Amino acid sequence: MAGGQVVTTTRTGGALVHEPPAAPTPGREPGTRAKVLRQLTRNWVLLVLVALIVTFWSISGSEFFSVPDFRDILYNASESGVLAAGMTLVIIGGQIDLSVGSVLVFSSVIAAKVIVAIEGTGTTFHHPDVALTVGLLTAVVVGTAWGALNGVLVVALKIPSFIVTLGTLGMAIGLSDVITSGADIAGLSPTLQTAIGARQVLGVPLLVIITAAIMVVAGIVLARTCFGRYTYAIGSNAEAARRAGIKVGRHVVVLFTIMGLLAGVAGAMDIARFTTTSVIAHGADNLIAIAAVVIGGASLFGGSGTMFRTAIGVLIPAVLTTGLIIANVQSFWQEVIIGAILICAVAIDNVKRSSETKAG
Amino acid sequence: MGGSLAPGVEAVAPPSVPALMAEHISKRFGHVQALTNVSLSVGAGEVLALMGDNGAGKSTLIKVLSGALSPDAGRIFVLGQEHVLATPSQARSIGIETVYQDLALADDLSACSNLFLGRELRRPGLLGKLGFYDEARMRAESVRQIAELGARIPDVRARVKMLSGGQRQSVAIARSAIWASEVLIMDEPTAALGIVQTAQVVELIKRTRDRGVAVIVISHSMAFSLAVSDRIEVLRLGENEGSFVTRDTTDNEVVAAITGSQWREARS
Amino acid sequence: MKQRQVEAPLSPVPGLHNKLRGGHKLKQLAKIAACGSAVSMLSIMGASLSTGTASAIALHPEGYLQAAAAAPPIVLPQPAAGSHYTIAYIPGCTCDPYFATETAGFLAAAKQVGISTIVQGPADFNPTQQTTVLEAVVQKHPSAIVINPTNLTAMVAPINAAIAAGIPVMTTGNFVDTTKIFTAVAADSYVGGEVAAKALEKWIPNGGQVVYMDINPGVTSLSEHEQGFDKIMRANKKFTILPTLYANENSATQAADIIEGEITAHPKLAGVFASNVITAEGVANGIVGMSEAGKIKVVGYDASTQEVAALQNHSLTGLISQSPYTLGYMDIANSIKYLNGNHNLPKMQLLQPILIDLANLNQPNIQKAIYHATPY
Repeated sequence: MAGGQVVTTTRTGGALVHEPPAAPTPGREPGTRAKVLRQLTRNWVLLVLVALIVTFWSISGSEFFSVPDFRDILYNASESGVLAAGMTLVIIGGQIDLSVGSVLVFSSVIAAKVIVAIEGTGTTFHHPDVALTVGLLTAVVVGTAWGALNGVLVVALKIPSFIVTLGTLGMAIGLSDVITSGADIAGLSPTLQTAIGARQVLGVPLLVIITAAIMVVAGIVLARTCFGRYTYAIGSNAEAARRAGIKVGRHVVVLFTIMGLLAGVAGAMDIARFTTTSVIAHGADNLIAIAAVVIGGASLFGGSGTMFRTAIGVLIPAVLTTGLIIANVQSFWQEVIIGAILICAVAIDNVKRSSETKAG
Repeated sequence: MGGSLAPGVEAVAPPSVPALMAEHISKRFGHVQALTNVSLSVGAGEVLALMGDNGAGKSTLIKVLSGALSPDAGRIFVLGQEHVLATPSQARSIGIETVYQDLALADDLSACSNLFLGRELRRPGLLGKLGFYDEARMRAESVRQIAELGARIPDVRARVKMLSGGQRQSVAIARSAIWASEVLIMDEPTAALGIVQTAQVVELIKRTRDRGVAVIVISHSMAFSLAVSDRIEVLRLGENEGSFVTRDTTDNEVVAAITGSQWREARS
Repeated sequence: MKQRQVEAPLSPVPGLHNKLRGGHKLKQLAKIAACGSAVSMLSIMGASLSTGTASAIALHPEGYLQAAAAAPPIVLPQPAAGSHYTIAYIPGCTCDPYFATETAGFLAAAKQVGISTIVQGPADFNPTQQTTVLEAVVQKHPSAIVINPTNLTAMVAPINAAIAAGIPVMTTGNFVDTTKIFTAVAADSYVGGEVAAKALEKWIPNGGQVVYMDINPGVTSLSEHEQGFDKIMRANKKFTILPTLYANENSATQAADIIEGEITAHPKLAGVFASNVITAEGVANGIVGMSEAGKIKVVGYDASTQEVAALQNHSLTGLISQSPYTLGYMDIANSIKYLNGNHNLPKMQLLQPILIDLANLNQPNIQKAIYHATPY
């Protein structure tokens, strides 16, 4: 037997084996209507969000559907948004970071200490602008350092990120308690709020603008740059990425460092908003960020997800919480409803995307 | 990227300098001597099937040739020039590409992304320096290359995990075939494939060969090896057992070499 | 961490704090006097004979306790004719029987005078969640908001924003660092510490070792308990105060472990003062575990139903109630007064904490001071 039997059917320039026809030949662009439908079915969670907004509008009218209310929702979600942006990168890359709330707290504690050291306490403050700038930058630097530590431990010691970040979660909050002796650092100058925390630009809170900017930049990097693509590749199949010549270890360290940096930014936003640290208030921040990424449809195993969907994943619980309060739903029932809707949202999204897979 | 021959042009007889030559390769793992004094050569535009039973040393030899393992002894020449292949990246940089049995595809990425993984085409100018890749260009190039190789992938933008086994194999082979400028090495490319898909892979390999690339294929399947190769090299227990020109040999002869049976026609 | 932080008002001058208390004490005593109970007149006269500080209690412990027990209910003003008030209550969290009890009082009082209510609270005691709730409630444009602020400083901006949006705000329980609220009601934490000390003095007539179990060094209400407690105990030479214990996880299990360790280390321990619901419940368990129920006297802050059960099995000897049900009534009463036009309410209105023990447990007024966890 010198060779296999090959049945050839000549098609567009190639000698091929006869196979059942598949989807459109490569190169033909789908029409606009098909494109929009495709985007919608991909981003089913967006429809869930719209449905929620419409529902609350019909229940509560302009108490819910008003500019001040939407502004409040976005403002209250700004820190979660920043954390979720970093978590998106980490999870797409096949990792997880549980330490984000603790790093946020630690960054805010160090920043508050620095601010107090520069400007003093009491009723007169020395150089509050300098104190504010140095303090907030310190928060970012401190967060970045924790992130880098997470990354190095995961890569160099080859310990799963769940365990490493569980450890740094404890260490960071513990150190915060040690430094503050459990007492929040308050009495920071009001300049912090007037200059940043409560500031609005054209009616939009500055913190919301910062969060949006971070999400847009991170989203573009994810979707359009080699760095983003390598993140998807590493999350999808780290070995394949390695064989393709991608420096996987270094990339993972960078992912965690970015996450730490963003946790530091969130810590800066926190003290700018409240002019005090809140050591006990961020224990669940990690879950909120992870939930946002997962609600958005990313796989916890890595390799998929987009920043746009994470943004929706941040907004759905935020809209739900505020909407239910305004709708006068009893507090305890709120938690039941939010949990149920989250499950539904993800289930619908899953069904949609797996049916899309089957259709090929 | 790719060979120097235009599609459709028949390859001529292999040039005198082999594309890849390995001389006296030995490798030991602890107490096990995996390879002893193994030599092999393959010319441009030639398909060499590497055969042997389990434990013959085929995988080890492939790993040495692709730069994943360093031999204890022996030398490797590419186009007459000696090289020390310390890492797979180094092997790739001199034009040796390897398709492993596990395919090493990033399932959540598209075929197009996989083809260009690690070697993305950048946008011109500042954007490119910042890392922005040129999706349109890569897509067009992917479509062209895949069509040239005769692979049938409906949408290069679809995620690889949604493709059939044969299509995934095509993507993996295409990825290496596109970038292999000198040697393409493949480890059991049809192990999990059916008849129809195997024939498709045969076609892909032949087209790659026609571009002037030297191809080394490990396979268990006699039918496949006879169908696709120009020469067959047999290893047994870590040593060269026999070299055959495909069109002049029979399956019995090759099997005999694999199993070490005493009956076999003497061939050079 | 679920804890109520009853925090001190800021006073720029140290010591002014006590003077503030003295002033308010007089106003409060005047209120009680206005109700005309003979027994309370006696204790009030006794108290007003003093320099106006809490040492007055030392003179008439029995009289004080009875006076607190006989405190009359709050009189609710009627809403102005033709008005339709909606008053919102935002607790520190929905996680604690203290808040559930205040809610019950709030709702009962509202029903009594026929006004609408909104009750919404964060799941956890933290300012981030509470801010979301506050802002959402503001969108509903209630006539007034009563809030138990979860942080002295962090809640300033959102509360000021609510006031700027035209909604008057008062606080209950904890304090917030803004002068724009129309009043603040709370139970007096410092006096609570003193009451606890007085109770232990009464139950341990021969004196001995006592200890205070705190949660975190930085929670001002708990520190106030300690200050009041220390003041009385240090004055009594029969007592030795052991170093303060900290159950910083605010978990009953940890509190139980800590007290068991303390009893082992100090077998002569005679009395314990536990700072809140969680530590009280934990200490009670630990006491039972060491078979010291009834032998070591324990005063626990707050009066949850579980603490009452501990009272009955002698693992706790006394409870200090902050009368959240009464605070609920005061929330409604003060809101109506303000909305009716009285903008000169006192800045701070402090309730006397009430000591509950087996002797007075079944009196109706005392029963009202227990935190019956009522569903929302």
